[in-house]
Amino acid sequence: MKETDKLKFVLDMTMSVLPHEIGCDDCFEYFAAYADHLTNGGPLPEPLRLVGEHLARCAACMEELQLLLEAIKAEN
Amino acid sequence: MLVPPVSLLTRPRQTTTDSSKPRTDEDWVSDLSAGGSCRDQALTELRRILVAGLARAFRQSPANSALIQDSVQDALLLVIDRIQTYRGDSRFVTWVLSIGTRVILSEMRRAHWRDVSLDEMSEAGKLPPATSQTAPMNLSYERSQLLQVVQTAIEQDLTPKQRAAIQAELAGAPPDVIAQRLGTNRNALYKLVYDGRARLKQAILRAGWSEEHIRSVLNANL
Repeated sequence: MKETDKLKFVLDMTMSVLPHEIGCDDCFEYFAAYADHLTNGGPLPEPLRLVGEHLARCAACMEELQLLLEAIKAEN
Repeated sequence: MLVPPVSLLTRPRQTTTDSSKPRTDEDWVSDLSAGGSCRDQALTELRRILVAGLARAFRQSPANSALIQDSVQDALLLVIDRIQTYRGDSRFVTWVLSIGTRVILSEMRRAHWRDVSLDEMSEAGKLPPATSQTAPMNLSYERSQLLQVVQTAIEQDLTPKQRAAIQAELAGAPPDVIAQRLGTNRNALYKLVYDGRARLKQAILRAGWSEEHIRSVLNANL
């Protein structure tokens, strides 16, 4: 990561702090439900919104979600 | 709990290997919880689904077929171990694939970062002091000031563990690897980093930088 990107990264992660966030493991608990909602479409239930917020901040969990969505496609 | 447990879904999704009878999510749980040939057939089918899914998901990564096979085996053991925790708020197969995906990705991340210590990660993630000769030459004055505020906050407002974890993230290390190095789990690491982010934010705001001002500096051309 370039030095200027590091500054942006740390400021993004810092200034986006919300009062109520969930961690990676809590996010993972609802990963499958979240992926099914993305696959099937339709409005996201309110409780899964926290999963979406976590994914916006956590590149590792986002990577896992994208791979999961690919894995799901193999069934079709 | 974000989502209250719901009854197991019953819509058909999969078929058993020996008939065209649809296998529902409830069937999966029932068959895998049973013994004998019923469970063996379900495991065989689930293994096929996992191998196909992971092979597709990781087709552009260094994951080879041996790693996929090993990960599928580990994932199936986890599925059996955790089957009572399946709440039914997703398709059963999606739940299984989520476990398989995490297993193989965690293994790949561990292998990639195997020889890198937390100290090395943390060092690689350090921001350069704004006044040092390593600071980018074309750094604008305001950006340089902002960099200095952030650098000072990282050094003075974070605990050593928070600093190490945040700088390791800046170096691109994944959370499962950082958590392993710190002897903790991803949730505890997230809490550690969350508290660090909150401290940094307070320090930056205390230094007189508003969120709007920061955005304008970051968005400005260098």
